[in-house]
Amino acid sequence: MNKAKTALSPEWSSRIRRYSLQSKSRIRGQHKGSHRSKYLGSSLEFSDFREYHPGDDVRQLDWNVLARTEKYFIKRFLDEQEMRVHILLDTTKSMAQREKWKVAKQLTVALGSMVLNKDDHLSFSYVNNTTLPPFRKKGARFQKAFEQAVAKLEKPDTKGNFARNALTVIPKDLTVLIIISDGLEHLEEWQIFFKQLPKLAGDVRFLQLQTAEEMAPSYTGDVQLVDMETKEPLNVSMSQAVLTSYQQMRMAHQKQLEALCHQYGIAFLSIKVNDGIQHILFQQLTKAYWIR
Amino acid sequence: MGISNLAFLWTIVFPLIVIIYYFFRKKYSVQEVSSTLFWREVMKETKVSPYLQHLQRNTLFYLQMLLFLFMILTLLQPYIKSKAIAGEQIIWVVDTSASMLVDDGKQSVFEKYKQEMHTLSKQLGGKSVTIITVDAEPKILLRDEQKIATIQKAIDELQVTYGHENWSNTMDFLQSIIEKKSTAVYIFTDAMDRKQLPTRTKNVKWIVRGTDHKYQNISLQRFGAIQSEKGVQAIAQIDNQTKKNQQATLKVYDANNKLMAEKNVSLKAGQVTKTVLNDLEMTTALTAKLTVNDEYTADQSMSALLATDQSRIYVDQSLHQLVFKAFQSIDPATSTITSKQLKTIQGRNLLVTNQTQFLKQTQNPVLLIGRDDQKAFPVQGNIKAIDQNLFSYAPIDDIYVEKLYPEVQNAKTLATIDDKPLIQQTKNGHIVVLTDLQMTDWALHPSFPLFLWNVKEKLTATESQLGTFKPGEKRVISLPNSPKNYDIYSADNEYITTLTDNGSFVAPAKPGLYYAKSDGDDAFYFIVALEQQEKTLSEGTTFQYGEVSKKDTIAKDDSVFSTILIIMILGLLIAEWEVQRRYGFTN
Repeated sequence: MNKAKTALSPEWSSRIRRYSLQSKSRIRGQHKGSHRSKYLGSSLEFSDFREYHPGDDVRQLDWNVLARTEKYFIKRFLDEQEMRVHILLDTTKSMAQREKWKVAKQLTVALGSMVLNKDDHLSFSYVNNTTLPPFRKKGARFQKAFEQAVAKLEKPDTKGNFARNALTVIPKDLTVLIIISDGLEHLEEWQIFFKQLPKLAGDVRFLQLQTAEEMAPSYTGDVQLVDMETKEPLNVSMSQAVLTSYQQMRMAHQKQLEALCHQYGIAFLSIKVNDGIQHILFQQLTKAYWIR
Repeated sequence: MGISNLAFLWTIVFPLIVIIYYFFRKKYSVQEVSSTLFWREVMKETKVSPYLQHLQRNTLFYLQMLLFLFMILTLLQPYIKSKAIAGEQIIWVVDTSASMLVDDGKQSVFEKYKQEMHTLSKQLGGKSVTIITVDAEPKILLRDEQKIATIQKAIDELQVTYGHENWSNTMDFLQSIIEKKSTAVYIFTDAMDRKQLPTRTKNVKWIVRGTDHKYQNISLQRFGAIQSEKGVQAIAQIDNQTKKNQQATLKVYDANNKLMAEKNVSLKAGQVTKTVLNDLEMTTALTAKLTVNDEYTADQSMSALLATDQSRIYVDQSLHQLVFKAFQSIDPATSTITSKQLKTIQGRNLLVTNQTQFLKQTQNPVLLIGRDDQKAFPVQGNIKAIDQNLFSYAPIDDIYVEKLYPEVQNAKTLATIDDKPLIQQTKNGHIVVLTDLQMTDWALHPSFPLFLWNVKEKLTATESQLGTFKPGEKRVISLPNSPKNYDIYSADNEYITTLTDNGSFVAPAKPGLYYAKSDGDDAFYFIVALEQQEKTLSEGTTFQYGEVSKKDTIAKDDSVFSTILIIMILGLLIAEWEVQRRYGFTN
């Protein structure tokens, strides 16, 4: 997979620059950022006045008001803080589906670029069996570096279970945690995983990627289905009954996954990879108020 | 089970092609999917019964296979190989002689054979049957019949005809109806000599059923009665064919079935005993019945007609000697007397004269030859018999008549010459011949004595008997009022039949005493007597002789199979249609 494919086109890059990741999470980084926080701070943005009480920082007194009214008011400003955003990409073999993998990487790059553009702190990790250091940078100048880091991921080849092992690669004190996965794992695993997430991040988002083939299989006849992860074959004779049954299974899984996310306060968004990255980014994500 | 049409086995190619197609069709197309998570779940659900699932998946294949197999089966024409009768053509020869009535106490041999024929008829398997009864002459009851219902009806209607079986006749007849096909001939008889069978056995199987048992028999061999001055004397001859001394009771009945005499007779083993019954009352017929413990009852009864015919013939001395000679040859007791003596004759005696005056009296029948009261005149021309009755054995058209007497008034003309009456019958029944023997050459013709015999029979037969017949015998008899219908009754006054044309009298089958009666007439007694051969029983054997090819022993009852198979094929076609409609070809 070459760079050109993963890298977003310049036109896109400028378009992406206009967007930013939205989050109401209170957990912020210690460094100054470009995001207005609800907290009062030292930004240039004025918030309100407040009567002075002993103990307040005298530097914050509004001298002009004192001069005119001889009353002690403290002039308050909104705080400007950086966001700590982490993108967790599912690189298990189930993501190896060509379209899926492409969209997953594009999404990672796009979201990461948005974060870096706003001078926020971005970290990126995936479940890897090797001890490759995860990407962790702040500032727009690291955009190219991030793109390259993502492009380096040739092929999803992580063995084992994503949900089970993901916890180990997530840093703490995150503002936003974005998980990009296909969700094709047992619900029990997801539940264990999701249970831990609220401790790690204030705003967790689960981005589920689904292919059209998965959503509505078009197989006919006798098909030997080979699992990409386990390589286990499974002989299935397609029939209307089997397909209907499959759909029921899939829908049930989908609903339960969604319910699980809801239960643990995780934002859930299911994306059909065949819609194309443009549509996903600028229609689906914006519609869900994930980016603006 | 068997197969009729093995040649159609080649059609097995078709299902084999289908099987091969199913073998070589693309089995599973490999498809990589991200995860078989859901698929496994799906399969878990459907894999509850793998066999059932397999069946479900391959329904169409199995249905097609079944369909082909049934088609092949239908073409092969299977059948149930039941225990079948050999031969393509089956002939049942049934002996209907009296000896078939031997009875072991439970069932007569004849009934036993009827049951056996019923059993055999169920094993025919569509083969045709010819049934022949054997009596004095063979008779075909059924010819190449295949319908079991008809065959069974014919079996039920089989009856003993009491005659004596004529095997040589039957065998000749059988040879003529046995075709080139392989034939099984079943002979149902009591006893039959192996030598009677023809030597030609190619493709013919003879299956002879005999009695295999020596039946105990005591028969009334002969019974006769004569009338003498002392009264009626009857003689009976009883044959004890058993190996034991026996006691028997002989009962004699008269024509009205009234018991006249009874006598106990002791019979020595294997010997013929004669017994005489004296001083019996006068009657027209006697029936003797033997009461004895044996297994064959048909030969224990006999009848005898009493010679009651006392009429004599009296010939006028004035007639030509040839007339007397002719009558003497018919009846040796014929007397020749003078005209005066003739007048004194009483009773029903035939008077032969030329005295016209006798025609007036009615007591005695009269044959008038010539007329004493008229003169003859010359005549020339053809003779024509109007009433054939008198001339039945003796046509008279070739005789020559020179002179003729004038006709008798009020008389029926029986024969004419040149359209003038030659022979007449008066109202009183007398016969008139209007010529003298001197005027014709008739006496030189053989028809003359026969004519006289006919006249005698006609004029004196009124109280006569018809004689003794064999069972079912056909004989021409002359009854006096022949145009009338005679009803025939048995001695027990049971109506048997009506005789419409005396030219073809057929005696009843059952032996015994019978009489024929017309309105207002006297009864004419006759006897149907068992033939002597049927009074002796011989032990029979059951054997088979000759062979037919084994192929022909198979009963091919394939009709049921074909119907079932065709219905199944139709059902399968409908099922296939439905499966295809619901699941499509691939599944």
